[in-house]
Amino acid sequence: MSGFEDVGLWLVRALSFLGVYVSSLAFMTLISAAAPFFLTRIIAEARSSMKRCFVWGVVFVLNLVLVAAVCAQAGGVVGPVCSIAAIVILLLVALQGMAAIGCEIGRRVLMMHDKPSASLLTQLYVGTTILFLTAVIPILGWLILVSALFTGIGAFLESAVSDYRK
Amino acid sequence: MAQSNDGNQPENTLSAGDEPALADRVLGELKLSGDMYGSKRDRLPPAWQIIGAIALLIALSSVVISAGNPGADWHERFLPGFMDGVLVFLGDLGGGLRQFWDTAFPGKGSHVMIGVTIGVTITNLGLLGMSIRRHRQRSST
Repeated sequence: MSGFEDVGLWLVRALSFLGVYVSSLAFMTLISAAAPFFLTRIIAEARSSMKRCFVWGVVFVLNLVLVAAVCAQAGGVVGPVCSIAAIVILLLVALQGMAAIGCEIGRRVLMMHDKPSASLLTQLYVGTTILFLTAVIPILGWLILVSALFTGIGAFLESAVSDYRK
Repeated sequence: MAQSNDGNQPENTLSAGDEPALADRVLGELKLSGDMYGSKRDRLPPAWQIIGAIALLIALSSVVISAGNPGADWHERFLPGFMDGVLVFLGDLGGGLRQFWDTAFPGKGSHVMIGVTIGVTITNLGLLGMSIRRHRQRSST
């Protein structure tokens, strides 16, 4: 492979990463504008028990991925479509959970910067940017991002349960 | 905007650095209008709406796939780009998992994979039950 092709490949990867970052941030902004109090409750759940949220997040993701994989193996039309539905649900839950974890990380970072009363949006942008930049680190980075995702997903599920209990 | 207190000194003049962020202003207005805390918009929709939306998604997608070009692969008929890649990945993942279990339990790969999926689903439901019990206890105390 020539040098130009290498550069082109890396450029495409960088642009894809930037695209995922920007679109995720846009969706999270939408969530925080549509339901700020719900987001605050997810953050509170994540703060109350990070370990419990992480475990439930791992089991939930494993469950949906396995269900999607089994459905994708099924013949016909409905099976694969069910696998798409599982992945869409996972994406929705994951992005809402990551918004909450991003806010929490942003809050803590801004507290270190002597800005404890920063707005929710500032916290979200700072936290999410830090998470995505951390993900660039080889091997360790994506583990941190995935751990944050699992915790956020668990926190989302906990607050969803509290919604349906009321 | 700036308002005069005694005619000379502005009372609420805010410099650019002190100006509340847009999100804070919006949240403040929502609080004043009473349309924020405890309102329906800050809760998940009812379960029947979520389940109905999922069922609708599955039904409509199935119709679109069935009506697509029969010459093309099913996943190419309605989902180009990223989601098509996701579906190919899921198919590969399912195949890989089945082969993995086939190696461990020859001839029973599919059954073991389905068994593991059911086991993880039961664990997930168990965690859901524990969470419901915890919230019930929290609300009763």
